[in-house]
Amino acid sequence: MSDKLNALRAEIPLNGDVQAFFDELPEADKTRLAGLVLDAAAQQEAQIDEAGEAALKLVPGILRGRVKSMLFGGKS
Amino acid sequence: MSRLAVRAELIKLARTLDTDPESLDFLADHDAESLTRLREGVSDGLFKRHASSFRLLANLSGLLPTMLTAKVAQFALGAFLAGRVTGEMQPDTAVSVAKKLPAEFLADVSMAIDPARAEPVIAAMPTKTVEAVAEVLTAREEYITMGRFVGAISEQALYRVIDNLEDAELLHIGFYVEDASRLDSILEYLPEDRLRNIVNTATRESLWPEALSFIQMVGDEQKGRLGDLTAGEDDAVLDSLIHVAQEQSLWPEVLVAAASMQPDNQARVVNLPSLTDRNVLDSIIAATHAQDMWALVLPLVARMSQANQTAAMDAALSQDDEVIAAWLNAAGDEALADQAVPVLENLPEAQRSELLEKMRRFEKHQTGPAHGTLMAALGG
Repeated sequence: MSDKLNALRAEIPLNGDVQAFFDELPEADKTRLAGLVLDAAAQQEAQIDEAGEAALKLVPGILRGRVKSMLFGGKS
Repeated sequence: MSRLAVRAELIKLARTLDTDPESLDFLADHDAESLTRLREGVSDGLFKRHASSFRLLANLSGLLPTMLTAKVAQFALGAFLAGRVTGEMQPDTAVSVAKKLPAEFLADVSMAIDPARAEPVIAAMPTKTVEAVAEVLTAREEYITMGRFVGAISEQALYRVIDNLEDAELLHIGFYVEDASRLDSILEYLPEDRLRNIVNTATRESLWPEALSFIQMVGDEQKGRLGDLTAGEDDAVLDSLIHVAQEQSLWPEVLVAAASMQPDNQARVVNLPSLTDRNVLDSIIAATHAQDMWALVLPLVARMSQANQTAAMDAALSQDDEVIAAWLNAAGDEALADQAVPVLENLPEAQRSELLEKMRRFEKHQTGPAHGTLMAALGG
């Protein structure tokens, strides 16, 4: 099993249909598709982080503290 | 048809993965249904992976004034993320925010949204907003996105959008509809004249694959209505349908539509001269066998003129033994034998002898209860 597919299975909850689809793919295609899904997850994560930062910049000072604590909790 | 459906699925999957459809070309040999399941599963997995973040971002709408939430959605989240977050918002809040956003941005969001996950929000969108977004999506020819929303928007909004669409646009969108549960009521809403124009548009703009796909998805009553409307068209329209069916391997779809027509319309369609073409007949038989549609097709043969029956039997007798055994077996079913007997009795002598010889050869495989009746009709 490819490293990418292992990483995918570890990181993203995939249902039986997706698992079955992967099982039927040739090895090279498995790796390729797993890579695309992992890229999408990483991209989504980066977008979420950037969106949080960008939202903070848009929010007026009076609300910034509450928004920061809502989005980032204990994180600075 | 399946090529179009696969292409649509790859485009949707590409959107789920925020990539370009070409990067998924290596999946083009899979069938559309497997790709749908893959897309839904991946979309679900990606959503679950970041569900808590989406919820937090959605919660901002409860803290910020509406105008500011709209600004955050447009300039901080962007359309892709806003599409993911929408489903986590309260519908009334999402509606208030949407009212503050330009239709262009909402159209971008709708391309990223999962309608199944955001159904309460989409259903709550005011007709005016839906119309404005639909106008943008139509101008972009975003029929795939529009097809995804047919099952989710309010009935009033749906009908207003339909009223604003051209017939060809309706056919395109109909092909991509994901939730077919509303199609029957849409057809009930459409007046006869408009449906007739849609059938004509399918011919004029080479959209028969789209029209036939649509027919597959509706209930029997509407199937019959559409089939009968099609049968009422002149021969040129019907010949174009046969030409497209032959060229694009759409015979299963056409046969289902024909089987739903009124008997007199069936008689008109099955007696078109283009249906005596040997290549056409071979393709129909191959499709019927592959999909095990004999019970649907044999009654249509019974409505053929003797000349067309003879041409059809010529083609049928030239098939592999496996195919011949299959249609003989189906004709031996009690429910079909009544219709098969007059066809067999009217065959030219040479065909009757050939068929009788084959029936004797296949006799040990025949299980149809009316097998003896068929043999008797052939004089055996």
